Amino acid sequence: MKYLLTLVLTYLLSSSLFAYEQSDLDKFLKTNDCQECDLSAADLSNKDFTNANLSGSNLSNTNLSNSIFVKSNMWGVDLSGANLINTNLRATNLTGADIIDIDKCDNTTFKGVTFSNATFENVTCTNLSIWSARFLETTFENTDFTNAGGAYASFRDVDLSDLNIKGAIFWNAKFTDSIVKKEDCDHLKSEEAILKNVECK
Amino acid sequence: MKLLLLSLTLTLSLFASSISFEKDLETAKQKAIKTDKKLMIMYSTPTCPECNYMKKKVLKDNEIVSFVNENFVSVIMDIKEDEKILPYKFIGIPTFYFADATNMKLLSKKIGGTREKQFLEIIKNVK
Repeated sequence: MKYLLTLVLTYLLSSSLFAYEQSDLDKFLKTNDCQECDLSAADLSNKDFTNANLSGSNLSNTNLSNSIFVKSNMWGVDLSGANLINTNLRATNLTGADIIDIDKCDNTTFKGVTFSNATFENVTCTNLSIWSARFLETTFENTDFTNAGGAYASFRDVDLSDLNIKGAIFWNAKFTDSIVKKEDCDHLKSEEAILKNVECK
Repeated sequence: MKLLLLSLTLTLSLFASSISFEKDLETAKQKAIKTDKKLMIMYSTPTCPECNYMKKKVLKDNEIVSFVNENFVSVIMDIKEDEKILPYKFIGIPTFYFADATNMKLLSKKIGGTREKQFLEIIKNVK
């Protein structure tokens, strides 16, 4: 009996911790604008949210797959555990976003996205599109951008020691005031990337 | 003399350092029908970084240039300027369409930027 009660309580507690606010979801679906909202674990898949404003919102464990967030403001959002498969975030502002514990990010489009002061942690993506994206003081921990498309991207004041960029396209990408692994420096040079004040170690 | 000039032009086009893009789709279609080649249509915009990577890097590759000039008549269409005359719907750029010029039947397409090796494989497999 005790065991059953514990299970029920655990379920209820976890549900309340990870569920979205229905009023926030309704507001967002109606207005395309919901700042500092709780949309955690909501299903926002297969929809067009172009020009959305979700700044400061909690999107942890949210399903954004196959949706469009082109030119949106997602400043400071929490995307921990989100499903980003086939999500189009082109030219979106992800300044200060937490992009953590994500393995569902196949074919995600981050083309022209601003990632200033964003945090990438435990992220493994395949066929990622980061063409022309801007990474300023972005933090990378255990992140894998293998074979990503990233020509014209720019990285400034970043430590790429814990970012895997094997096979990624970085033609004409700019790396400034940053730290890069020795083997990645060779890769970047072969890609004709532009390196300024980069420490290859 | 005419034959010599024609041969010279053809030879030069095969070894040209860049792909010969036609000025518009109609011209490209007519030329493709006349020369019995397929069409390669690239959807793009001047500000699209992925498109510029393809134009300035991949489509400058000697092997790709030779193969494309030998087998295709090519044209670049701006999705904004040419919006009303785009022959196919698209979901993103760059998109490359390979078509039969006589009836505009789509033979294959490639969405997005890619490395030279993969692009060469794609164009060699257009049937």
